[in-house]
Amino acid sequence: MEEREQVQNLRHKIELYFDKALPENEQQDLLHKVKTDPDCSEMFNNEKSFRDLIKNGVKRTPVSPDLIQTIKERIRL
Amino acid sequence: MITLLKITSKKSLLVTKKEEENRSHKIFEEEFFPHINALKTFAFHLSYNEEDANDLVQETYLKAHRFIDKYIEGTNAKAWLFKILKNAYINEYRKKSKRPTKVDFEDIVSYHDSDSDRVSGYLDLREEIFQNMMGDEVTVAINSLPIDFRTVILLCDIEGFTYEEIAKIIDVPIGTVRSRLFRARNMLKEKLKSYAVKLGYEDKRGSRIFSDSDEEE
Repeated sequence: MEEREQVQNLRHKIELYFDKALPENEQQDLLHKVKTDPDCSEMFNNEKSFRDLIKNGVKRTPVSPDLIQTIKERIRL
Repeated sequence: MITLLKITSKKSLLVTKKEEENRSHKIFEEEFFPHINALKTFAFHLSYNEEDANDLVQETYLKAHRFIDKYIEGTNAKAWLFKILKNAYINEYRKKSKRPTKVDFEDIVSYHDSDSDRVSGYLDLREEIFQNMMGDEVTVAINSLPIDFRTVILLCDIEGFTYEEIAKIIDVPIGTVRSRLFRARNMLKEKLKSYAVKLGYEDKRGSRIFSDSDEEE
């Protein structure tokens, strides 16, 4: 039970780290654990892969120059 | 004397108007337009189509122009614009959405559970599962999430907003943002896992997950 809680806490910290919400002092502790603990390293890399996939895989649809021009005309820039 | 005052007053009004236009021009060029592609991506994933997304982006900039006196130069332009877009979407596009969002009962219950649902655990996916994923699968998975969950994923994981910024953009407490993110990521992982299984992914840690083609053999 205690071990499960520790794992949940670790995962929570990893999540906060990637959300840039983990306090700086805890970041150092986490990164040290990632380097020294294979299980932690695996969890960290899994989460990183997931985040990278979401960020890089999502469809992005750039705005056409025509739309920018239309907006500028409508607000008279 | 009165005529002179009138001319001076008219001249100073013109100067003020010119100054306002210059300020507006500077803000739009330097602070607002650099975020136009990010806004378009957000709009596209809210509305599901190019035309509505373009309308939303245009409306966002028109509203930003109308309320520019409320914007403080050099502050968080991106968050300000995203809030306008989100509100514009809620006010005008959600009602006529071509694909109404389905939220099942489980989502609603868990959604109100706030952080307590963390106890139920994280969905753990291994790194290899993502290796053969294509962008299309990610887009489909994100677009299939209920709107409130999709929104936090787009704002946090795609645009990199902080919890505090997201809370302000969507007008909910930070705890709700965190709870929605947790739920949304687990939902996404479930969906991506399903794709991975179809691609023939196997989890080497435990029992094998068979693909459709394996089952036929």
